[in-house]
Amino acid sequence: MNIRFEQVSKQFSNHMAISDLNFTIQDGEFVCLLGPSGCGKTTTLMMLAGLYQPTKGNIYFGDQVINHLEPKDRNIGMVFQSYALYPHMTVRDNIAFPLKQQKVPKKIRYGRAEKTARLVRLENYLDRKPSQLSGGQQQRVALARALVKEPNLLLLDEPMSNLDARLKIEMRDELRQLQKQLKITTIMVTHDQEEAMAMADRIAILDRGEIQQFDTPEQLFAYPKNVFVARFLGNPPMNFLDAEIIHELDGMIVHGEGYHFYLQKQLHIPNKTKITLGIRPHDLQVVSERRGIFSAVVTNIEHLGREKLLSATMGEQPIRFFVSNDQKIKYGDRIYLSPNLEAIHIFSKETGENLLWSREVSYEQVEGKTGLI
Amino acid sequence: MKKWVLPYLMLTPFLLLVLLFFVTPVVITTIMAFTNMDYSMEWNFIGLQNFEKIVSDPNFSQIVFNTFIYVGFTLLINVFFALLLALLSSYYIPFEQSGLFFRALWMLPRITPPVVYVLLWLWIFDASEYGLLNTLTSFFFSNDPIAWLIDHPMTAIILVNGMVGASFGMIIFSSAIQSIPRDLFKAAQVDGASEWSVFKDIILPSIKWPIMFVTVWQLLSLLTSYEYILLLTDGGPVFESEVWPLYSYHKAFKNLEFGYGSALSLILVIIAILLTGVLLKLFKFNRMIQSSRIE
Repeated sequence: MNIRFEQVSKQFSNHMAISDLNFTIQDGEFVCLLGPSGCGKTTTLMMLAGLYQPTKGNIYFGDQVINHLEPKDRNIGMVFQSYALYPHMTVRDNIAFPLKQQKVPKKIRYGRAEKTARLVRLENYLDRKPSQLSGGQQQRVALARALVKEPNLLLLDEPMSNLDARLKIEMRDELRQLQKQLKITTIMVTHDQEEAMAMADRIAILDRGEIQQFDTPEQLFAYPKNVFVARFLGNPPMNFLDAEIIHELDGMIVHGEGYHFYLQKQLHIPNKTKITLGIRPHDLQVVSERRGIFSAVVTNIEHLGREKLLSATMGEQPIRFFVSNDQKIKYGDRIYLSPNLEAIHIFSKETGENLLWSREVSYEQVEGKTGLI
Repeated sequence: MKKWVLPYLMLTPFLLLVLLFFVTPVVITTIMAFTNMDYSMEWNFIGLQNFEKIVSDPNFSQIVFNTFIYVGFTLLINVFFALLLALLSSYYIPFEQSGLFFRALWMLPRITPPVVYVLLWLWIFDASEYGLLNTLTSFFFSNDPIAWLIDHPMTAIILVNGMVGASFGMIIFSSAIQSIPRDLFKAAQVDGASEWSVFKDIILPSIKWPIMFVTVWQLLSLLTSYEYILLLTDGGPVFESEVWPLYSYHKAFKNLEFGYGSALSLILVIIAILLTGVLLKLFKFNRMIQSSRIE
């Protein structure tokens, strides 16, 4: 079942939560809605669940407009952030509750509840109350309750935010496998970019009620459409430096405070346009003074095990990069850095748009290729 | 040892007050129940004679019956009508402001002094054609005026006490309903639960504790309080709306049979304790305090 948003807006009394949302989710896809708090991702999910109605536009399940369909008639399963387990019922009754509402006979509904419980490895806890379970088990009960009615669409509202880090990684894996196994269309809301990158087929990045970019994790990481996406994805975040573009024969010079370098690319923008230069920490390398483009003073060293994350300042501007463990760099050292010129991003200072990728290379192509949005 | 001195020092004034105003009367009443003290205020111990007198009292059976009817029906109103009000004002009214207004209206009788509240009802039940009920019935059915308090004294006292008592349960229940996580209702909606199922499977189990509390609390207060009846019918006509605590008041302070009145109230206290025990059993209190509640 495809899910399509067509110019959907949602207005609450005093603010616009969602404005003009357009996207399509394919059957069996795992999609993450990712964004900072207040970006409208939960509102979007609530509209899919039928708990909110859109103010404008249409939401389609397949060919059917479902704007005003009751939640119970949508055949959806939902896992809430708080799990929302019924505290007075046993695990068995919790899982069977949606079936009980559909008037499924007792024997059949307990049979199906037990089968679903086995799917999420809860078969030994059926007679417990939710309060007697750990966080991870409670989450699995919530998942089983959502899955028991064999829904067409699974909605997950920040399902892992109450789990500890280790369990999170485990559940991430489990949930993903289950989703592939059941081939169920799944939409998950999260503010955790790592979680989204790890689990989703595609991620929709939202900010202030609008989709900034809707794409596969690889594309989002490699070709962010604007500064917001670039800043939001990636840990540690991308480095941003102020610069201006000076046209040259066959290319241009990126000129910033204390550095300048030649880039063999052409942009259709006026000479001396102010830009924001974006470089991921992984795309910076410590080099000799002669080959270095940036010169910086080390202000902090973090040991991450496999490598070291260094923070440094170039005049006023902070910059972060990775070095291998065997490189002997101390606090206060002056170092020289060279970026991977293939992987740098140039954003318009004014609009935040990615000037290198958004027009020429990636976005339309990617869209055209997959036929989405 | 020394660290306990200050806390006890702080508590002493209040412990003394409790001792003076709560414990002492209980002790005195208990002792008095075994005397035939009257207006002469003499402590003549007469053993169990007072209790024998209760059993052989010609009004005994009617008073027990009245008390039973009065406490039973008023308690029903106090709990179930309160629950209905709480549901209406907290679950079905999504806007907190309107719910609050609604609840405030129902709280008015509680914050009104009983005398004023009862005066209002006396006007409603007034036997002349100027009484509110009589005005209404004569307007709609052109009936002759009815002496409501003479013809239906039990109904009147149950109604008056039920209305004022329901506001207490309403406040307790509505705050309990509001403390149920909203996500549970959303989940129930997604799961396709009917309104009845939401009430039965989610709301009711979550407010079991407050329901028990309100039931026990109201039972005790109904068993021992009589001020509304005193003001409304004074137990009349004859003994038709006389209930046990009012009878003990009448005996003690009208007939000045202090010993007999004390014996009556002592029995009442014992009955109240027994009934509380029964209710706690009924609500499975022991199991309730063991299981964890919603975090």
